[in-house]
Amino acid sequence: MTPLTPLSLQVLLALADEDRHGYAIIKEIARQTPGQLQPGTGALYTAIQRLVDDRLIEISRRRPSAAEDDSRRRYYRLTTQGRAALAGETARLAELLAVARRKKVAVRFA
Amino acid sequence: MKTPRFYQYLLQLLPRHLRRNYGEEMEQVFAARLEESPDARSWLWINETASMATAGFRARIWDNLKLDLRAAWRAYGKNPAFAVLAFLMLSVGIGGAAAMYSMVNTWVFDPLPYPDPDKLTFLSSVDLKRGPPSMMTEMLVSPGDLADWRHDTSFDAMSAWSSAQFNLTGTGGSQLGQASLPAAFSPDSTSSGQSTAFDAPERLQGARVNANFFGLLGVTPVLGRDFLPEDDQPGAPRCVILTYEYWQGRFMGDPSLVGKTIGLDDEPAIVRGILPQHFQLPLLGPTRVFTPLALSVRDRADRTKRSLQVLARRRDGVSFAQARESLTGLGRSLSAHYPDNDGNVGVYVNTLAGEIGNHQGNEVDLAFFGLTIFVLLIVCSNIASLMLAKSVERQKEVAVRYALGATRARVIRQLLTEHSLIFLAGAAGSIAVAKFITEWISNNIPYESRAYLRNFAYIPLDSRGIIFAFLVALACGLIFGLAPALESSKTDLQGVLKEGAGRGSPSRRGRLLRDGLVGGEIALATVLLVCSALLLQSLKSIFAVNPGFQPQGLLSVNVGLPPKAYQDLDRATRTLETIGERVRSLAGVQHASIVEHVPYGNSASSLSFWIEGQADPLPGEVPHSRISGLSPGYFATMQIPVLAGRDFSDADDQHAPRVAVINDVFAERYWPHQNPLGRHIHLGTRDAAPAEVVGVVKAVKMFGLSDPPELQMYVPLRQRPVRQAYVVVRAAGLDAGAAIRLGSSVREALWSVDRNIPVPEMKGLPQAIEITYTSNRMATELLSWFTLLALVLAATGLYAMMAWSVTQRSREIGIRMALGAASMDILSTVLRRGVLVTAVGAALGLGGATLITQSLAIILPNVNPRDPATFAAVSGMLAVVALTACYLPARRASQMDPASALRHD
Repeated sequence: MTPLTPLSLQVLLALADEDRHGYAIIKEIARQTPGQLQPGTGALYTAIQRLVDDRLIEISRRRPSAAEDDSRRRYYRLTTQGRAALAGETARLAELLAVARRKKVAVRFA
Repeated sequence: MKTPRFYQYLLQLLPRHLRRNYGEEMEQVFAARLEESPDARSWLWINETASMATAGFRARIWDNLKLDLRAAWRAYGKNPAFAVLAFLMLSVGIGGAAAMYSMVNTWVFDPLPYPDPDKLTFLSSVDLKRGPPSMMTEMLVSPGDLADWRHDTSFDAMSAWSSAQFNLTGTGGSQLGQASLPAAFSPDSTSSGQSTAFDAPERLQGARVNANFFGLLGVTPVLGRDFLPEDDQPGAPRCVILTYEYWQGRFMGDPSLVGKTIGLDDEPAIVRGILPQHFQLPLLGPTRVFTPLALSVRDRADRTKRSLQVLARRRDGVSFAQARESLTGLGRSLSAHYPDNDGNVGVYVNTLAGEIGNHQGNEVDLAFFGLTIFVLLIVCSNIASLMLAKSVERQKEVAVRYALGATRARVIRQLLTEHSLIFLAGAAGSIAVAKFITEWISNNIPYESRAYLRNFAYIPLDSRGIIFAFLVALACGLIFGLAPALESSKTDLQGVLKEGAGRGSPSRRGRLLRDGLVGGEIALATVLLVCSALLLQSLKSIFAVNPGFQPQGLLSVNVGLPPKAYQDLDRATRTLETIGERVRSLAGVQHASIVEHVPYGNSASSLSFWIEGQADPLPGEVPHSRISGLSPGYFATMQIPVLAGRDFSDADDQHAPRVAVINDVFAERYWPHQNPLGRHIHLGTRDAAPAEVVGVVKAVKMFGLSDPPELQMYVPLRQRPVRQAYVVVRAAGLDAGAAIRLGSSVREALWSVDRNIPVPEMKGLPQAIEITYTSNRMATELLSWFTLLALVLAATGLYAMMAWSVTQRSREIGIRMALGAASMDILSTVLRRGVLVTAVGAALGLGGATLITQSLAIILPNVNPRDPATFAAVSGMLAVVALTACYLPARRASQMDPASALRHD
């Protein structure tokens, strides 16, 4: 399997806590990475399609409450594989972070 | 809400399946974003457009390309022989074209390296009696005419120059120490006993110029200053500007030289400035020193002496055509005003770039570029036919792809990628080939000739050449790769798979296509062969021309006696004669004599003349003849045949009656079928004491082997004393180096007469002639190689096609033989197609060649562009090569064992 692109990782991360539709994913990504990553729909859906093809996410069968629901919207959710891939990628990043810390690379959190 | 239509267009960039699955949803998301942040609308649109374009490119092109490239790599890996062969052929084919492209760019198309070069214009007088204004009728300009031209308001400025040879001595007691002199032509010049003192006199090519010469060109000295108008006045202190290279070579780049005084023809001259590095005006040749013309007031109005060449800068807003119109009109009125001097004289106006191009032979360069394109096309069709041949072998692979759901477009794209890949690889390889060719060309041009070619004959292989190679490769890859790709993609799925391990038979259309390619290749090769053969003949015919003397074993030494020390011209003549005697007594010297102008010495004089006893010509139509003073024995030295009468003798001196020797052209023109001996000619003026014709000799070529026959006349040196002359030496041996080896002893002999005679320029005459024809000789060599390549390629193309078709038909042949066909029948069946393809291709090629050679006529002197012998010889040669290429596979087919042929699969 090809490695996760930064955008794919962001999509997985956006879906980690709840299922979201496309627009919500964009907003969640914007919230996760303040101002840094604002994907266009072209890039986003290319990534979504790839993730669906790789079975890391799927179209959710559950719908939100009727009040919020818009029948044309599709909700995406992480699959078990997707969650595992996200965990794996996060662990890799954590390791990287640990190495950076050991080497006294200045790491600051906002 | 409804999104603008533009979003729909953007969606079209995406692959269809993505659009189908998610398009609607994407639209909603984008609409929501627009609604949410109305302030950031334009940013959102830009971001969206970029995002769509990138996603579309990746999905549609890049991802597939990666797959296709991987597939192509595997395919070539399976068939490395083909890959290597194609790579080599393409490297040479594209490399040749890229090299010639760089050459024509540098020599023909690049703007001249001066500011605003389009405005630079070359002006010349022309002799209308010899034809319409063109390079062929150019004459030098008289100062009087130029003074009138200067009134033409189409031009901002005009500047004149006149080439000259100078004796240059150093600064005298300079602290610079031992700078060595530039190596003379002779390889042993440094080993001779000559002094390497800094002040040793040196004879140099230079030019006298108007003060505005460099300013007009837009060139500013890097050191010191330009000439000022006051430098260009009679009586002004002599001053010089040196080229950067000469300053580096002789004065070791000493910056303090500027402002110092050096010796120029024995007179002090102040060094005013140093020109920028690489300054060059190809019309001037290897000029190293410039000094103002400084014409006297009388000379400036003179219309009788033609000595100048003229450069001009057009005024802003005046087109070339307008300027030419205006100056030509002025020329007509000058003709009317001054019928004596300008009666038949017109004005020739050319762009400077055009004039340089005419002199360096742009047509030949362009013709070469065209011929390399032919070679490239032959290479491409060769490769395309090989690919077509392979396409049948690949039908199974293609069928499998279809079976797995690939669309035809997808399959074509994959094959096209594969084909283009080898072309691009060829382009990469071609760069090395192009580099080799361009360097070979530059390195093979002798030093003396380089200054006459733009950019000193150096051809840089720059980014344009490389881009050209890749674009050509891509275009050829797409064009020539498309046919085989289309052919391969057209596969009868069931048919192929059903046959199991068997091979499909080529489609009728595929066979036609391949025949077309091979036929086209033969046609191209025919054209190329015909053109090359004609060019080679033309070049050979130039070399075969008898120059009128025997150049082998001749050495010419340019001697310029310092004018101050030799103000007495009779003393100068005596000194030259003493030099001649000393040289004659040297070991290894057979003959030696003195002549004012030697052939290929780049100098000549002309004189008007009147024939006694014939009607005087109208003013303005007085004929001119080349004239040269010489010492007795010159004709023997040069081995110029004396046709009638006698050579001069020592008795023909300044006190004796005037005598002259004329050439056969002269005799034929003025005394046809009569004896010219004993007739009289007035030389220079109508009233001059007449000279008696005492001999007739054969005409010689003074400048180039293709010179038209001209009137030539010789007089005794003692009756036409000069300070500048040539010692011509005939070596005892005829071998190539014999004359050159005499160089140092000739120089010693010179110095034994007068230590102050400048270091002369030593030139073997064969070399001097050779230099004039360098480009032709190199053209001949290059052309021979390219032609050979084309022939080999056409032959291999034909062979490959035939061999392949025999393999393809082995089953059919086997069946036929099993049914009792004789091997002769098989042979003729197989041969028939090859012969037909060859015949059609050759016929088309010969037809095309007649059209093309017609337009090549200008660069094909002495050759009939439709020379039947050449056309016949080329057809014959092609027929032999093609038949051999067809025969070998055909014979193999006819000797096939039917059983094994049937078992072949």
